[in-house]
Amino acid sequence: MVVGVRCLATTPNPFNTLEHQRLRTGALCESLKQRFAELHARDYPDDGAAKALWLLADLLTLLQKRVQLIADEKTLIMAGEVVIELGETLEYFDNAGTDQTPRGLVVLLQSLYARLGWPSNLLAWPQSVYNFTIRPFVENLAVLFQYLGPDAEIDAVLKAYTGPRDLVSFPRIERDNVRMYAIFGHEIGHRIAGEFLKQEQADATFSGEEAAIRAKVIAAMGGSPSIIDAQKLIEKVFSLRKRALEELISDIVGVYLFGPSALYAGHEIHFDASMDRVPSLANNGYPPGRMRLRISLELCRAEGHLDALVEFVDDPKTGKAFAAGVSLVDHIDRLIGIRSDVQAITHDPFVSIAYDWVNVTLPSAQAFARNAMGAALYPTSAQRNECSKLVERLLDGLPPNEIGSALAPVQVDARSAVLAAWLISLDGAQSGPGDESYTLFRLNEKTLRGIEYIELQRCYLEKFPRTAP
Amino acid sequence: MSVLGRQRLIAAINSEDPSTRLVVTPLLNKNQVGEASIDIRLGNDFVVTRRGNLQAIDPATDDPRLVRYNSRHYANFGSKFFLHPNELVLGSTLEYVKLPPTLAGWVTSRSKWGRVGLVIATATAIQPGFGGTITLELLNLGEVPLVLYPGLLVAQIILSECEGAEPYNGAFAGQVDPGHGKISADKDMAFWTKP
Repeated sequence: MVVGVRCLATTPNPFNTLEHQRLRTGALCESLKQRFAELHARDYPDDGAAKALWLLADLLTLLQKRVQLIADEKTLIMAGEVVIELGETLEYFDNAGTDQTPRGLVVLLQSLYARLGWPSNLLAWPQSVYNFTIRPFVENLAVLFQYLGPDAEIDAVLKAYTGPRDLVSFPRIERDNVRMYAIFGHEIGHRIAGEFLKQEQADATFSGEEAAIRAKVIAAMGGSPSIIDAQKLIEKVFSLRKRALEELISDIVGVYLFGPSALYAGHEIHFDASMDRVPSLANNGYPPGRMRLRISLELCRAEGHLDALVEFVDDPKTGKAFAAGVSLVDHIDRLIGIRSDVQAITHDPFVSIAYDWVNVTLPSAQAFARNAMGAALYPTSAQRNECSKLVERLLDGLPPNEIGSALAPVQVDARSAVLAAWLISLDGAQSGPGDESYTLFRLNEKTLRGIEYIELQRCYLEKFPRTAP
Repeated sequence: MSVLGRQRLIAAINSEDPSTRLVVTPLLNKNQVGEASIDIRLGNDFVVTRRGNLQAIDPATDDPRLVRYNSRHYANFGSKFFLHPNELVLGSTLEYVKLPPTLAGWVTSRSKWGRVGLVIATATAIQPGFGGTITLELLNLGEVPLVLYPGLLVAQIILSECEGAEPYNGAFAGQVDPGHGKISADKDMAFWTKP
């Protein structure tokens, strides 16, 4: 159009993109600070969210200062990207309030962290995606700001921060399903798997193992493969082995932390089409579900958790619930007796090399994981001493927070409460159609409240030890 | 029918028979069992009415949007909840209570709180067999705002024997949070409210 051409031609000065970006990035900073300030009005399970919001506001203030001094456009654009990325945390705080995040979940995770000797500050929120995750918060922030170059002020703010260090997300659809919280044992396991893989790299014998695998891959390729082709397949084998160990060690930690509840929760996740899925780079190297259930069940058996279930199947009051739990174990046992997952892996020579290597490593990884548990291990003795009594309490319509008279209660482990909820729900599912949805709703409510009580009682009694009634 | 004194209360709590056992959990301090009552604590959850959204509460209507008239608040242990004069807020007991079918109960303010104007229940009866947290109707009848902290011993339950009762199995059975009941749910409501 003539008018348009005339306007372009008559622009007196070139458009100042540097100042445009400065204004845009500054406005994004200010806008995000306002959104964070609004979120302070929400109710959160503890003061961790407020601390995290202050941290983000402080970082934005520093970034705003810096934006005024940046002299090149690319860095300004990068700063804008950092602000946008920080803006994604809004979702966490929007959903981390007590109206969306059960306090029972938060106290359960905090107690596990404390048992592991980890800082127990975390921020949990439900997300729409069906995925359970635990991600580091502060480390990720540090990485994000690294893109803008070194900054002593930002380093100091991050160092002084005392709020949540981990971000925990879970599927919103499972928000109140306390039984599925056992999956967090697996998520916690990822950190331990990472530690194992790190220490393995530092081991002098590991480079020898790697060299042997390289030779195996080249031999399996046959002929004289090009260096590029060989390297691709070697990397694939290494990557599949690493991913398998990450997931399998995490499953192992899940069982160490939650006992049979981890097996039951794993069955909910893996009973679908992923049972015999051949691991590949395209599916992010997830091991077949059947294999994962096999490892979890065998570990439950080795740790004595299955015997501790079977012992109660004849209990007059709670035996039916335990029988349902044992029945699911038997079902899983039949599933893992089918070796179709192993056969599928052996059909691919390179996946086979990776998994042969996994099988060699797994015993030492399991020993490493058990050692890392320390006081966090869910002992069979707790399952044996507490679970039946807690099932009984739930059947009597009570939260599973203690054993015995309320005047002289025996304290219990929250993981026993989760397992008790599993057993009752499994029994409900085996008892034919009924109003299970209502029952499960109340079961979840009572168990969540029971977990809150367990932690409250522990904290209160530490300060005010109970004297004889 | 007599009110249970301390020894009877302790015996009911210690009973191993579920049909006669009284449960108040967590009973953090044994001194909560008094001469003829059990002191109970304020929980963390509060339901506040958003008056701007509310035309009236009319039992003749069954509007699912009624939830918009409420806003839920959670107060952590150690944090404050402000109850202003003449304000009605729903709270709940920290403790989960379960009465055997042989006992009925009443909730009242502890006198030290009553003297500063705090009313904790307007519908005070607890039915035999009820299990759950007890919803408290918190009302400040005093002249100045009251600061409430979760965990404070604000109320007490008085229990008495009850003969021939059916265990309660109503809408509030098993509740763990405060909430409004459905006042339009009475079966003969239409008879009384429709011309």
